[in-house]
Amino acid sequence: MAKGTNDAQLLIQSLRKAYASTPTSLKIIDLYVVYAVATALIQVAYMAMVGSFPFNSFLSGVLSCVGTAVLAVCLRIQVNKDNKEFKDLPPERAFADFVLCNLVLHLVIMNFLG
Amino acid sequence: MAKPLVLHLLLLLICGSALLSSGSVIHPISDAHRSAATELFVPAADGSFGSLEETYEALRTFQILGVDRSSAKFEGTCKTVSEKLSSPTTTKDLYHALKITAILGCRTESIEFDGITSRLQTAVKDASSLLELYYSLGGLLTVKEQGKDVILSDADGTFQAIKALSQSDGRWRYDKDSTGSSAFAAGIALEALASVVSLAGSDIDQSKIAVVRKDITKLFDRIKRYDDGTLYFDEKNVDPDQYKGPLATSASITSGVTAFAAVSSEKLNIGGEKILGLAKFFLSIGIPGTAKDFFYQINSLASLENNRISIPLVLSLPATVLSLTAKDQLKVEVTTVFGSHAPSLAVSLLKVLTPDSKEVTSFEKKELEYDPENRIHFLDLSPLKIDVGKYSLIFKVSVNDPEGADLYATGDQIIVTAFLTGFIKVDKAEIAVSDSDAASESVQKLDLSKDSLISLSANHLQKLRLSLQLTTPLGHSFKPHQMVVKLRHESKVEHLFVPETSSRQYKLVLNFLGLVEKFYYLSGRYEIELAVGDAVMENSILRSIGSIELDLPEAPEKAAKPPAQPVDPLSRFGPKEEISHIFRAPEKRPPQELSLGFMGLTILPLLAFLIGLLRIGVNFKGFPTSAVPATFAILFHGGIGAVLLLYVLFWLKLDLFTTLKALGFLGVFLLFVGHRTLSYLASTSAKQKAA
Repeated sequence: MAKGTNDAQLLIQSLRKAYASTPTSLKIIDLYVVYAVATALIQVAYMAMVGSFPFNSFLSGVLSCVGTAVLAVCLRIQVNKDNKEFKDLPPERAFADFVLCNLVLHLVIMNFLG
Repeated sequence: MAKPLVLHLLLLLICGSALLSSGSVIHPISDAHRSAATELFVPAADGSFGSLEETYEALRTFQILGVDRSSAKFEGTCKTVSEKLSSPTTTKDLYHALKITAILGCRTESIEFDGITSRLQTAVKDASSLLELYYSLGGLLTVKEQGKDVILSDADGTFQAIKALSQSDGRWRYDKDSTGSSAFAAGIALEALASVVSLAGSDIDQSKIAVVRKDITKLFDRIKRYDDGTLYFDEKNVDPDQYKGPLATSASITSGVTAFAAVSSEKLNIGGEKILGLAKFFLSIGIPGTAKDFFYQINSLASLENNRISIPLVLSLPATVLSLTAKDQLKVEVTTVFGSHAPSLAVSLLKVLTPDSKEVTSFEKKELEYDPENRIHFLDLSPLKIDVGKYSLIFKVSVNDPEGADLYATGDQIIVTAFLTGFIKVDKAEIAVSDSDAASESVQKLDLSKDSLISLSANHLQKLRLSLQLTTPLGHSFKPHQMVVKLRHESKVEHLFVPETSSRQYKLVLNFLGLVEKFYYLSGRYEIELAVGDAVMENSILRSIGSIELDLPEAPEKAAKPPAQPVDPLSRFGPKEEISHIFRAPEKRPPQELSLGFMGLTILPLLAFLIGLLRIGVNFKGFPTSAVPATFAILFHGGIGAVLLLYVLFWLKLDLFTTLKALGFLGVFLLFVGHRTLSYLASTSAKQKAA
């Protein structure tokens, strides 16, 4: 038992150390993803409490959070310098894609919101 | 005694072949026609009735019927017509305009008749079709009748030109090139030929006129006939757009033939009965419904009224239903087609026929007396001892003056249908209830003249007997068209029975034993109603004579139910009960505080994100410092902010289309600005890497 918790603690500490070395831009993106998912969870909790009457609004809200989180993850993949696949893609281009896709997503979301 | 008989025979011979003309009801033109004319021909504000042709037709009809034409409206017509005459128009318009001027009596000082005459004479010379010749010749004739001097240069040639278009069967073609001929064109051609003869005076060769007389005889061979002696002309084998119909064709031929008869020195070989047949055709139309038909009818009858062949006289009865009780007299009028008085005549009633064409033998030929004040021939019916009924009366009209006899066409035998009505006596009316073995009867006398009601009672083993006799005023037994006895139950279920006739009596026997099923086993009070009716019965009976209490056995299970009685229409079609609508209950919404609370809760992760950003050490070092890229960067961020603001507006109040439009503009702007900014950033980071 103590070994288990010890192992977990060691694991978390090693993860922390490794994480500290990630560049700042990636950390910003990670934080954004966590923010989006948290908002989605709060909305799901609300729906669980009061029922899904305007179902389109619920879907709209949740999917906007999830969608933007997905787009942020894609941005992180493309911007990460350690990723060999996207070596030749300039990060500004990836950012531009991120902004454009977000704008389209939010247009659709606003239409569906009702 | 023999002399009148010989005279009678002579008249018969002169008046032509015997013709049995039967009873269509015709009346001469009367005030009803005049009022119908004023209703049908309604002038517009400027006094015209439509085109020049229609105006002419309306005014000519008014002229013939004697309708007032002096109204102020027609002064305007005079002016428009005289303008037409001075301007270049077609020959047809000239013709109608000249005719209108003549009818209205317009002032002719301002009209240049010489110019018009020369125009018409050129038209006659250059004419290529029958209608052109007709209109131009008619116009010249109208000008001549106004008192001006008109010369027709080549009368013979014109006559020949018209005659050349005739066919061997008496019909005419419209021009040299057309192949079809029509009887309508024949009428027009004859009128045109008559105009030529009147204009030329004695220049026309009489043999030519004789040839045309033969053509007219051939034309009259084509006449068609109804059974009652009415005659008319109709077209066969004519183009559908050339087909004018029997009224127009007959009218055209009548005008043409009467016009030609007026100019021909010898009498035309057409019998008086043909003229009378045509007159009957026009009169049998009654009051026509359209303006054109009205004109055709009135114009033709006017030509027939004063024609030179023979003037038709029509016999009409002002009343065809005569009452024996009121001692009506049989009244007969003989007049011309326009109702003007005829010469001195003798009208005799030859025979009286019953509907099955048997002669009433008790009747002998009688001559009607004449009432000069009312100009009516009458006959007292009571001494004739004719019973009630429907009869065909056969009249004969003869002109008293033997010289004038061939001037008039009266037809041979004229058949008119008349009704003699009278009071029918009801005798020996009895109603009785008897047992089935006819042992005892309780008879009650019915007096149908009084209002008394009888009441009886019977059960299903008994019989009901109703009998009566009907007698005419002259004492014969009468058989009415309708005699029905109705028994009506309290629940409004009705049963009808027809009494049987035997020798002089009508008897109805109802054996209730056999009728139990028919009555649907309904016991109770039945009202008895008697209906006796006939066209000649002045005192038809429709009344309740009393009631009978019927006692019928109980209905077995499988018996037929009485039919449903009609429902009171007000209850079926009246207002119905009100419907209260049930609307869908609205969804349950959560309490507002909870929703607002959660909205606040949603903002929390944003705050956490911002705090986290600060913790990580976000900085604005990468923001470009030099002026141009800085502006672009600011614009880029501003553009994204604007798009997000647009989305908020879209959610609040805009619709998708305006949003997309605005988004299009913003998007293009954003693309441009973003491209500049990001490419600048990319170039700076590339420089940094290189360095």
